Amino acid sequence: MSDFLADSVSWLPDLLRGLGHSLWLTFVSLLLGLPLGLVLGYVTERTTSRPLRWLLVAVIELARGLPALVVLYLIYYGLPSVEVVLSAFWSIIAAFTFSNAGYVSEIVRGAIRGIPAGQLEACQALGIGRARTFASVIAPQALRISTPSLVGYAAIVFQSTSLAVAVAEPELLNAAYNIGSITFQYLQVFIVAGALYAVVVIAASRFAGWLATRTQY
Amino acid sequence: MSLLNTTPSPDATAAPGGPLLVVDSLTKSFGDHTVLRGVDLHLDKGEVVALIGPSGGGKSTLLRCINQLELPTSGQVTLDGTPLVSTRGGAVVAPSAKALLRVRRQIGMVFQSFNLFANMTAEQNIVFAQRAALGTGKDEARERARTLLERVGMGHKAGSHPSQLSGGQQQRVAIARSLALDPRVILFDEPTSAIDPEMRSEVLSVMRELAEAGMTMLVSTHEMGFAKQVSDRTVFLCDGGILEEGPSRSLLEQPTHDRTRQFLRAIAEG
Ligand SMILES: Nc1ncnc2c1ncn2[C@@H]1O[C@H](COP(=O)(O)OP(=O)(O)OP(=O)(O)O)[C@@H](O)[C@H]1O
Ligand SMILES: [Mg+2]
Repeated sequence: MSDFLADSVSWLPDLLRGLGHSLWLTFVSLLLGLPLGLVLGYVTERTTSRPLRWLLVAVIELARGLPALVVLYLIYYGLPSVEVVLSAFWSIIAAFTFSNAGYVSEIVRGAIRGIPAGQLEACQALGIGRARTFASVIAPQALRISTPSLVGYAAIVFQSTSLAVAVAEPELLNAAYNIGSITFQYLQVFIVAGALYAVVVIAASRFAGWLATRTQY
Repeated sequence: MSLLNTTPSPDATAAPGGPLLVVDSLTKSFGDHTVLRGVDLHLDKGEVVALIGPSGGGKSTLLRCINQLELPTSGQVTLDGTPLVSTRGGAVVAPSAKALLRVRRQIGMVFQSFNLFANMTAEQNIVFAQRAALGTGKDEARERARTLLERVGMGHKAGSHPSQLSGGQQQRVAIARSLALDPRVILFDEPTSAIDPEMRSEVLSVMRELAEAGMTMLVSTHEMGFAKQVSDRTVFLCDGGILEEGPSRSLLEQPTHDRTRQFLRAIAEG
């Protein structure tokens, strides 16, 4: 048991570096996916053009329907055959941003439907333009309503960054795998890595739960 | 104390070029359901007109057609001689976004459900409206917001969010927000219907002051007391048409049509 502890402690620096990189992947793909999803959700929800709505719904369904790993392989292994070569890092970011935008837009559409229609009518009646209405009335409220769901979703994104092991990106699972391949203590190292994932995810969902209790103005 | 920053000139009602707001043969259908069947109505500058009638009679639809929240099916609305409804070859067409914004900034609207922006305080609601609709500078907008909040008796709640205010308080803020854009006319759609009876008078007295200050107002209401005491004229709208209209006191005390009498009796019995 004390061996396990001592080993774990000696692996920690590598594992924590991997964890840091997993968090970084989560952060960057959400940073790009959030605004994209917000706009996508808003336009899909509010557009009066049917063809546009269908097109956007198709994009959203595709982004949510395709497994992130499939998208990642398409980008990393598939695109080079049409002369588009992205590094492992940017392939992951592109793949995750795509599915994030899809999921975020669904969350945001729900939130936009939760904003009383009267407030949007008030904007119209006051002669306030659409862009201004979105930026100052819809977006802040939609974000506030959807923050708990978004934090919960961020935890899922963090978990799925482990898929990046498939393209040898140095994130947490990759770091654990490397340690295992040197020490052959796969069981122990994956237990420690699993615990690190769990700690972050549980903390995030607790935080989401707490946020949910205080989304009122 | 005046609720407006400009006092109307004494001869305002005799403005050249006729009435301020004219509704001409306005019709509105939703699909094959006709809601307004040719409404004619005019408001002189400074006039207060009460719009009464049974539920479903088309009061809200009429108000919403005037500021183009709903596109009329046919007919015209003119504000100070300027036609508001876009037409092409005699048919009503959707106006350009720009034209719509211009129209709406001149016509205030106060809703039954207040419709304050939930993510902003009372003061921010009024500041935002001015900045977004008129491009007013921050300091000027804030100063005007404070002044207007004082005038509707809400100065002490400037920093409160709508969720922290009673219905009557929210509606007073909404009136101040509407006033902030300096509209030519304000449309009220049952402004007190969603407010507890004991809180209604605070809103009605703000509206009465507005009327006394010379604001042109078209008020859909079930408050017969307000109609009788404050409005110059009352219009009875029923089944999508104006059945009768006249000076408020005579219409409300001696209606000529049975339908009007019936309606007034039903209201009185509550
Ligand atoms: N967007 C819409 N689509 C279809 N029908 C509508 C729409 N808006 C209103 N109507 C119909 O138009 C009719 C008139 O409604 P309106 O709300 O104008 O009446 P009202 O006089 O304001 O009634 P109330 O006193 O209940 O507010 C009703 O039969 C209503 O169902
Ligand atoms: Mg109505």
